[in-house]
Amino acid sequence: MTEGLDLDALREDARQWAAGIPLLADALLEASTRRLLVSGTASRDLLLLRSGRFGLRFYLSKQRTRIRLFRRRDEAPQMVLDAGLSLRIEPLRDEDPQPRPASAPQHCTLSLPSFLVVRPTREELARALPAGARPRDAVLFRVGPGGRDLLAFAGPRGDLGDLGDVRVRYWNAGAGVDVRPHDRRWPVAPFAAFVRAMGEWAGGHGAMRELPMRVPEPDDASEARRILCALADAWRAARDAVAAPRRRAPDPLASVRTDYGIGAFDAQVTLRLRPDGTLAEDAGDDTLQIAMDVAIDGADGDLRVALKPPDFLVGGDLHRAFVDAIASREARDRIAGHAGAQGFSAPMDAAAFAAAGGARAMVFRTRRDLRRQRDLDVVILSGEHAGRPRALVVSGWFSVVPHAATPVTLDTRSLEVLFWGHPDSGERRLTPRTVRHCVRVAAALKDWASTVAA
Amino acid sequence: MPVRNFEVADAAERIAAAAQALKAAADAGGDRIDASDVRAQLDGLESAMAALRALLDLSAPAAAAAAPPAARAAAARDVAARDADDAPPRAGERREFDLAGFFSSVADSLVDAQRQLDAKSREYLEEQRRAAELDGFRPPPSVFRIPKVTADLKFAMETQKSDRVGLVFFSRSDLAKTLHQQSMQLEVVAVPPTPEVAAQVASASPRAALLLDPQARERLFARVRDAELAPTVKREPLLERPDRVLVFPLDDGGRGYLLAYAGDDQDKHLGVWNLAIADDGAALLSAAYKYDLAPRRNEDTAALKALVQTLGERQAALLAGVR
Repeated sequence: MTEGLDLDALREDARQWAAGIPLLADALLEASTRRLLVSGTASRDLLLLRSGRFGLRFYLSKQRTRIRLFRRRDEAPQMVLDAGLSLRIEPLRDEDPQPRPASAPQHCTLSLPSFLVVRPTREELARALPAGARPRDAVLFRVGPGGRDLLAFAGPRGDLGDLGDVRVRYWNAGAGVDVRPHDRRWPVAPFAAFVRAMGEWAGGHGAMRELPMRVPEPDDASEARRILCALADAWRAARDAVAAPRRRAPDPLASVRTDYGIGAFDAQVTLRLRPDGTLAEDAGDDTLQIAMDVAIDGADGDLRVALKPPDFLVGGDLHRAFVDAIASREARDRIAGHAGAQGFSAPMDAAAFAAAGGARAMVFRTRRDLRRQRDLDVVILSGEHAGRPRALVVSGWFSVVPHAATPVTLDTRSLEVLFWGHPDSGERRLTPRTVRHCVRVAAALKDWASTVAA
Repeated sequence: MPVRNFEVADAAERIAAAAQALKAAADAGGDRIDASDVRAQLDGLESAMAALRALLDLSAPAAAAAAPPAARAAAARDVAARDADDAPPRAGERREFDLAGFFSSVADSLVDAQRQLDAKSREYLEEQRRAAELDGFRPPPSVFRIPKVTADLKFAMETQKSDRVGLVFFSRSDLAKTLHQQSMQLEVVAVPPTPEVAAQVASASPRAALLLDPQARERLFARVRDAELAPTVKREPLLERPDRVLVFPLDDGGRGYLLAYAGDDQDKHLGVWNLAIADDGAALLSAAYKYDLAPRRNEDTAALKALVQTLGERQAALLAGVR
């Protein structure tokens, strides 16, 4: 493990790679010229660089108050933020604006899912604010079909870290109820609605809204904003490097020399957050992931940030592997046995439902065990069974090895049925762990929307 | 495959010119010089030598040059790696090098690959020509070209240095799989030069143009016959075989010409003349290199004579067809 580098290293990397493109283009042109001067050359084509794309992966790690950058995973500590930068450089078109001197981005926007209510109306607060909570201590979500229902979480001074202090209110079908556990079990319907909204977001089906954001600065208190500032610096360095004055081209070919510009600049940073919303420092931290997608473009480097759902799978090969894992014979036997033991009706149907494969599935991670390289995941299957809407919620420890023949392995003995029944059931079946995860996701969204956009 | 002697001579000239440029750069560099001071000239020299090797179809020191494109890319990496350290890389060893050298090597590799294809094209065309002599069938002439190259490179970067990017390539596949986390894609296309560019290249290339217009040559030789002769100069050799006399106009106004002729037999039968035409139309023929004068000791004019002779024969063949 090494000490890592300052975030500034990102700017230097981007500058050097971007500078290589005009360098290569000129080298090709010079080499083409040399060929033209050689008699007996069968093909007299000129070699022109059409595009260059760099995919750079790097790792960020928080060390006390500083964020350190690592270019290789094997040099970084165990708890890192995965980050990637994609830089595409292509020829400038005639209509493209000429690159201007470096400047700070003029426009910054944050893209958030519409179901997160950033500025609730008076009416929404009246309907969904939990009794005794102040508006600034609450976070509201529009859930249900068409976002007609509201779900709100509130905690003392906005702190949602302790489930015991969290108050929840659900406005549904024209009536609001304060949601409370009974015998440590929470009702299914509000959280099922919340998870469905998250699933739509993860699947890219949910509506998004853009909020203006203050331009990030290097001394921002927010760690995410400092990372954004480093990315904006890297973009500027790349743009300036591409547009820097070049050596004189060989005379005959000066007219075909191409000017280049930044075609696309995208970055993704996976934020690992502690329950209090700050970046995780230690492998032992109980973390939650939120991905931050960053795109910078335009003459001034307009910066757009989109927060992506944390630890949610709604499609793809890995998602399929999770579904297959709980459809295995051993898993089905365990589901039937555990559903029966928990008192759910028709437990054999639960096993059959898991195996049928016709249900919509959502997978989300509620805990990581880095030491044993496994995750505690909740899998929600919803669909119809015997002509009636049904939902099956199970949790268990899964090990994921991407690209392996069997990428997802389930520890069948850990499999538990959290719920089996009608998805909008008022039954109090959810465990505190599942509810705590939902509340943490809500808190993280609230905190990150406010700290990133601040 | 045999090649024309003048092609080899041309290539040799370019090597000599490149070597001269390298020497001039070294001379201008002071007591101590860096590789960067002479890199461009060295590249030029290597390029000229590679052109000759390709022409002669020699693959000798450039094992890389005869290798497939992937191996050539590896060779390019090794070339770049040598910038950082002269010792050859070993399997699994980490290497870093400067980006400028790396990109330059990529460009040279692509051009060298096309140069190899040029050699193969010539070989193929020659085979077709021979086959046509045997069976009379000659397919349309074809040359091989690379229309587009997409290079996809995987590598790792060092963390230790913030002021420059250290690239690391791993020879061992297991390390490569886990540590090559960075990628670079380059798309290069080959396009024919536009007529304007081709014309610019032609006009910018230094060359001595021969006067080939039969009517202009007739007028010129009429002048030669009537020209006043400088002392001891003979005009007769020029009139032996006018079609084999090389005529180089010295300006655009038709006021001066350089004429070169090589007779068939003795070494001394090589001469270069100046023909100057005054405003009043009077012509003066003087000697630049005297015909019928045996080379002095330490002078070897054989190559020059052979060149003038060969070009003269080719010119005569050409003029016979257009008279």
